[in-house]
Amino acid sequence: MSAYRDDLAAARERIRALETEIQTLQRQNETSLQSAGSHLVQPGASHSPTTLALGGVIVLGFVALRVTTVAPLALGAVLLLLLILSLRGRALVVRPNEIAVVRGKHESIPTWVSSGRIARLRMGATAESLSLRAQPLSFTLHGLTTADAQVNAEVFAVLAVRRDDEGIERAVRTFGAGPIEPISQAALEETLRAFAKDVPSKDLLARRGGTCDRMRRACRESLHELGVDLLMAGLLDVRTVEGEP
Amino acid sequence: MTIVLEALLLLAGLSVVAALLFRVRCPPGAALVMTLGSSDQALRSGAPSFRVLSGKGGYRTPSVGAVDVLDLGPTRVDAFVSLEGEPRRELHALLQVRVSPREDMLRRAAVRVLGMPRRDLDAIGEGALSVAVRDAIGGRDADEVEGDMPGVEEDTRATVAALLEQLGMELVDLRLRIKGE
Repeated sequence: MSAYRDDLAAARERIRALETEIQTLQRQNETSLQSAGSHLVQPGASHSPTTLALGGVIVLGFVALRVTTVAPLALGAVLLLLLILSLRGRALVVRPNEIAVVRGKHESIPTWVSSGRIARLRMGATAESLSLRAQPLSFTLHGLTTADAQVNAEVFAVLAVRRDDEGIERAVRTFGAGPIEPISQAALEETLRAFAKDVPSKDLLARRGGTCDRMRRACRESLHELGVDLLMAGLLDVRTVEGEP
Repeated sequence: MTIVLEALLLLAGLSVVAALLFRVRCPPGAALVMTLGSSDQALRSGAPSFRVLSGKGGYRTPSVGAVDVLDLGPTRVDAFVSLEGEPRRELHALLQVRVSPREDMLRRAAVRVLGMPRRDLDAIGEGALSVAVRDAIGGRDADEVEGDMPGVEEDTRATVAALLEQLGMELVDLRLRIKGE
């Protein structure tokens, strides 16, 4: 019965690992299938400017028909309106859950436009979206060296790009408009390996409060530098590597 | 006089058409997130310019750049944690969460949760619940956990609530039950 329960637990662990892998692959697929700027929408999608321009033309046309003396003036106004619209360039709405990373035609360093704004792009400029949404991250640290043994640790974290100006600046510099997970995971792995060196394995296995808090603080500081907020982090499973005492 | 009346009729007609065209309905159990934009706004500093309308419709005026829908419905996730000791038992945790209807929390959810794929939301719920339960249990075995279920539940609740608050969400229900032989 005990062996059966062990098998069941191992199978469950395996299923969870496979589910995590599938989720990661699906997310990667999603990222690669979407065009980089697909989250940013043009305000024209709401038809407001177009409809307003048409409305203006109708009203001006009506006035010009009734009062023929103002016809040349009305025509001039319509032409001026069209000229202004064409000179304003392409506009993109930056939603609350994203940052627009804008690159000029010959600029190597991108600038950014904060969320809840309209980004106006000059000729030849491109814009991509950097998400501010919270993102789950889970991975297994194999052969994590603690003060007295080697362990395998399954880590779970929830990350998001910082919302303050300095944080966004750092995130844009670090990730551009790409996904934040790969670099954040590498930073977390490095921090956890450095942290675990001085911690007895039994403290990690028992998840003693002080140890977990120190671990989270170290991870938070490391990600903060990259412009990422660590909203939550913890160890899902910690097992001593087979053959270790 | 006639021209004034005609102009007024034309304006009234245009207004009715505009109202019909730009009316945005809010689906039940959701909130509308309207991103606003004006040219005189600083592009970087300052709070993001958007409005959240919970349970009511609005108008897509020229100042509204985009309209999104934020789902306010509850989400249920569960987690199983194996406990030490004989006989083998496991802790089943069932969690129900939702976007909080408070305005400040809705604004936070519009940044952190809006447009999140359902599987990411489930993964966050499941992972957070598992971490919270394991941290609450610590190194204790099944008997010790069974003897302190209110304490474990309180610790789990506090950990999960702290995460959810950062996402603009709130905990609706949390149930812990020991299952096993």
